[in-house]
Amino acid sequence: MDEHPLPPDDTRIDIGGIKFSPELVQYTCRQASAADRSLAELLRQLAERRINLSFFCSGRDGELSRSTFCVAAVDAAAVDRILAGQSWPERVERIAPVGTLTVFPHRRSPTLLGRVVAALAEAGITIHSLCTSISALSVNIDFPQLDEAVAILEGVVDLPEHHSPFRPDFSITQIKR
Amino acid sequence: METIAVYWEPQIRIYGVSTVTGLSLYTVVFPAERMAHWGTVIASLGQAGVTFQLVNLQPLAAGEMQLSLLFTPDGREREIRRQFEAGTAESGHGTWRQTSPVELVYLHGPHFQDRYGIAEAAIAPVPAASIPLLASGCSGTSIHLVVPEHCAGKVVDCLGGTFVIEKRPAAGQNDG
Repeated sequence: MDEHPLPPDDTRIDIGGIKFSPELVQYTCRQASAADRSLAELLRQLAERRINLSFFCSGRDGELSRSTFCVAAVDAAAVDRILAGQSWPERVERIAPVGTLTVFPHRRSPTLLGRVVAALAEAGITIHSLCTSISALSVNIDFPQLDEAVAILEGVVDLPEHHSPFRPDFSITQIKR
Repeated sequence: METIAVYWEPQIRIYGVSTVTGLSLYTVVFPAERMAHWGTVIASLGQAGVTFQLVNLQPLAAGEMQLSLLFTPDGREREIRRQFEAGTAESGHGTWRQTSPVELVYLHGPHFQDRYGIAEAAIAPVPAASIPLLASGCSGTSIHLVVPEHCAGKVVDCLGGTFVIEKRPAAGQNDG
């Protein structure tokens, strides 16, 4: 991984690229009690129906956990049906449509991350969630605002001269495990 | 053009697993309208030379957001705390807390983001083994699991039934 320090504040940061996800739906589930295993059951049912989670993160809100995940918009109806069959729909928040803006590499530095967050928020782009992977920063925003977000980030980052299209021209789908 | 390739594996193969110990987890809860403010605070940590292992952000109820940041202390804990104290000094900017030491289990594998069942395979066994999951992140090809001190080795052991793990580092080993 590239560990070179990032430049100071006002200069634009060189990055490798930006990618967009297809249209997604975001769900956030909160745990009701320390003994509550409803998230594990939900994840089991999603896997059973072969629904991919392109994004998942969790954190603790005191003693209780809260988890956020995204599925492809085409899978949202199936997720909604699973949730409708549970006894805890009031503990789930749904945001649609969202899109993931992936910026890479982050070089483990809070500078790029912080400046991306600040620039988007100052421009009025609502950030619904984010998570880092080994090298990339994935930010979930309203799907129709992905292009606008890139235009805003051009004030923060320098993209390579011959950057590939932001939207993927192919997708990979697992059909059997 | 559509290309269909078929590949089957009896158990999920991964490229590797690592554990990192002695980390600090900072959790910030703030009103969503203070997002730009916290972006600036985070950026200032980068200018101080702090590096992160994992950052995630998700919505709470009532217009609040929760930010989880996992840092390698690296002698910069005082600076991190100073930035968070300054960031929350003004009323209405949020609250923060530190949990340390904590441990990280990190695994990465082929196309995790494109394959169903990966989150369940990685997340569900942890609470089932009575290990508190303090934070997690599954995006791209990575899975990060943050657990209390002395728990990383147990996580690696319980994930051994789910993933094909070629190397099993003992708890406390730092492969990060």
